[in-house]
Amino acid sequence: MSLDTDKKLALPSTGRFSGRHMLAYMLVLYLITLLIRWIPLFLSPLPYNIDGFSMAGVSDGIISSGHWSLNSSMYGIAYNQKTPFFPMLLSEFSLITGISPLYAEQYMLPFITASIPPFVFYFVSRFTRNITASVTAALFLAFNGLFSFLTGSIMKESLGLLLIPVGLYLYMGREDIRKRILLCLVLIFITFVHYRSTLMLQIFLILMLSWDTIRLFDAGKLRLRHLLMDIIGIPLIGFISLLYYFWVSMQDYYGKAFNINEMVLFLSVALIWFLIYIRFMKRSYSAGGKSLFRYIMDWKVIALVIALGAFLLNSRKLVFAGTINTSSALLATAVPYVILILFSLLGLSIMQRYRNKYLPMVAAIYVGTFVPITYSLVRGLDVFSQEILYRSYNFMDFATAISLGIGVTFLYAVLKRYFFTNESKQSLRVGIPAAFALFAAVVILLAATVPLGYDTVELFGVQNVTYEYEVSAIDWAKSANCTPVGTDQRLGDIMRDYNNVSHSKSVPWKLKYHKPVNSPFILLEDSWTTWGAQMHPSSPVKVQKAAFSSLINQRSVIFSSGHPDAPEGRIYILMG
Amino acid sequence: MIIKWRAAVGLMLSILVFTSTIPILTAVETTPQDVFEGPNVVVMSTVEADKPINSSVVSLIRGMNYTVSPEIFLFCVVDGMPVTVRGVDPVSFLKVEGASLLKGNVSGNTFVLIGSSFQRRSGLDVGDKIVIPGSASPSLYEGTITGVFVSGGPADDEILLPTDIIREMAGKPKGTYQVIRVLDGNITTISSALRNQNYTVAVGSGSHVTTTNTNMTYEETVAMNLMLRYSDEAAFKTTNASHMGIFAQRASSSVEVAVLGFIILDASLTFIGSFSILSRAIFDRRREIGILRAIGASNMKIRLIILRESVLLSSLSAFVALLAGFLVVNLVSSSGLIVVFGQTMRPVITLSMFFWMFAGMVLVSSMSGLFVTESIMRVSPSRLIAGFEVEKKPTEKADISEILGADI
Repeated sequence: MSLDTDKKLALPSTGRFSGRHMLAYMLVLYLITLLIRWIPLFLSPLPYNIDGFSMAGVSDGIISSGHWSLNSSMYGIAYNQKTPFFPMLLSEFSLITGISPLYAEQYMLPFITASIPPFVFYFVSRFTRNITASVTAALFLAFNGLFSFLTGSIMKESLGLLLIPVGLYLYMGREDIRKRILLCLVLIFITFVHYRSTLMLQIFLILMLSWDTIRLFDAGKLRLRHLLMDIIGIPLIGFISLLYYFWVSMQDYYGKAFNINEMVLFLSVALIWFLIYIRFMKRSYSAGGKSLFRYIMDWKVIALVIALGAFLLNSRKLVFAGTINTSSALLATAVPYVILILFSLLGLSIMQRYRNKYLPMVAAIYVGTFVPITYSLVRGLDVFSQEILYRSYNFMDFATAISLGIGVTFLYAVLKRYFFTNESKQSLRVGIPAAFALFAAVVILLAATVPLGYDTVELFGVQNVTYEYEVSAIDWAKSANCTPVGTDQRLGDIMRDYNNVSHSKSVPWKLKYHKPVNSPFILLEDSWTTWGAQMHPSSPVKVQKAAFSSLINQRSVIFSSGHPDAPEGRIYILMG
Repeated sequence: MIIKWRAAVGLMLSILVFTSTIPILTAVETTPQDVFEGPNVVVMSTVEADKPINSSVVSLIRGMNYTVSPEIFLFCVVDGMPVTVRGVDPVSFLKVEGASLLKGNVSGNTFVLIGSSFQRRSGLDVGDKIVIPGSASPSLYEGTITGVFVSGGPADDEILLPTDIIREMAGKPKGTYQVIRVLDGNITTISSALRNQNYTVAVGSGSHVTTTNTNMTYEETVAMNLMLRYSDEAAFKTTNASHMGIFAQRASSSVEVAVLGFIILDASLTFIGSFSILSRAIFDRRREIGILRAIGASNMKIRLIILRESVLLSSLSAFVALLAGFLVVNLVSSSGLIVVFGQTMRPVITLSMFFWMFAGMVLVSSMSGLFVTESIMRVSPSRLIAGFEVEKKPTEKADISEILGADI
């Protein structure tokens, strides 16, 4: 299919959608998103992923002491106290509703983060004035499993992911002084929400600001007053955020990243991507005469090929030492996601070829996300780098959503142009099924990505669901003064972050390889013999039934809970 | 010839970048294995932290009439240069390495021998003082160089010290070693002897590694050590012997992935370079192609002519570039200029590497030629003869809402 000229595809503005329609769309999007984010509640009322335990711990501390403090000796608590907005909010919610923070957070957070797709819908509609692009972009964020996981799990990043599009929207309207002031407030506020979101928003905004400055300078329209206001309102606040992180000793936890050598490496990588961004923005493209294939298969596809190559390589050989191979289940589940990315590449190519206001923002998000990803790859292929990579990747989702919306709308526009303009029966007979097939395919592909967020056991070797009987066992161990307790990584981290129980996390390895287990108390589950004991970031360790039974027989069972039909089976505390 | 011969020079230079770097990148990948193993050598190392290999294992293997070199490694910086320091029994080590003394001698328990490559790099010689810092424990050794040896292998970049000194500097328990190397060892016989005597050891040669008296494979041991490192710091700190496994795993994995990344980058640059040169060379001859088509040459005929010439030019360029690249790499590396991780790189050049690189380059260049020809074929002969130029891109873009439609 060749797309010859701009005029051939031009579509008129209809203005069919009013404010009430928009509100209805936003409400439906909110409800869809909320339902998807609440899926973990069907399994357990406890936080989906173990970070929620340390958040609840910080909130408990705020409720009991009546103030925010920075002096905990517990690892997870001390770390989360440094960015206290979410725990404070959780404390308030808990005090108002009377539900303990541990049980309140999985209900509360999705209420907030479910507003991301409706906001992105509003955002995209303001700039594209196109309902198809806006809805598709919002649906991508609502359904996309990886994004669902991040915004449905209890982590500070979830709130950061809400503030990032807000910050970008305010930046684009900063000629209005009210939006400029609000942008400054968002940048200050996000500092206390999540450090990585702060960094990413700063990178996106600095890239956009640089491009705006170059563009205005070239056009002779650069005003020094505006530039100063931008510098004070964006990078200077970013610098103050950095000072705050130094002040609260965030480097105790991220000492590697705060090391001067690492900083120089990070800034060097950032400089290279900055130059790529400017080159990308300065490059001009002709619009017509391209086939759909050529629109997608330009040089940008190299990034996708490299990413897929690394993904496949990791299925055969560990790219990051000490982590886990890409599972075949993950490779299969990623297929719909990759197809959606191809739609996004089409959308990005369209944005490059037609005049629009949001290309600098979309490009800044893509390029900005590659900064920490590239940094993680060049600094060394270890567990810390892997964490930087997978925690950074999803900031790209905003750009992917907008590009996807444009890509799908472009295809729809092509169909409309070819089949709907003369309204002959023959054209409509082909056009209507084709349009239906397009939207059905997009929805099916989007829905097919949902398991990426909730089938984490099969796909990533990580059990994010914690059951009540597991927490009861840990609580009992603490109340009975069982210390130190030997267990696996997941239960060990919960004990460390929420219960402050001394523990060791190497029991599954010792059981598997018939090593003596020296801990006076052992917390173990039946699931260690079926799915395996979780040892993130390494792969789960499956223990032989004989070794498991032998350990139970050798020691005294002082606590047991759960039931054989429960997904994790029974849980035991052994003594002796 | 439609394509001018001078294009071959550009092609050759473009391919030269690839051919002169691949042997070095391959050498970087194989270096860790060369350092720890060597040709015709079987290596034994610790599997389980609480069962380190020790002098009784050495005695057992020596009793089988093998030449055995028990060793401990120290990775440190001497005079600002990264260097591998090896604790050895000098006589056994020189035998296993097939090395000989160039200068000086080995006497008593206080020898300091330096490899010939290290001597060239550092400028040190017999009788000079040398200070070696500990890398795993706060320690310092000061000694006088007693000899210079040459092995023709990676050991030439190393410093050799008595095992007892290095053991103390590496913080290892008395009587233990990190590796035991056996010259011309039979892996089956050695494994069997170790198994009979209930020793828990990893025995390997090349990619074949087996473990004795444990249900853990070598890979599982490494994985367990890494797991302890990241999830159980306290347990990890009590297991000194696990450091070596972690180092080897992290180093070899990272090096392999990084080398693969560089090879892909290198190949991409060469591909882009070759494509640009050939497309320019063919585009410059668009008038001639137009004339051929105007006088009746079919498209297939043109394609065959371009394919034949592309294959000829790229074969010639690739052959010369391969020879020149390999020659340059050999010259540079023999002068000891390429040093990575304190080891002089010894380029890996094999016949199969030559063949695959040659075939790859010819294929890529020929396909590039055909691809460009296809683009030119779309233009009419008259326009080609007139020497058409690529149309200028429009400066004013249409608004995206005109394409997508606006309904809000």
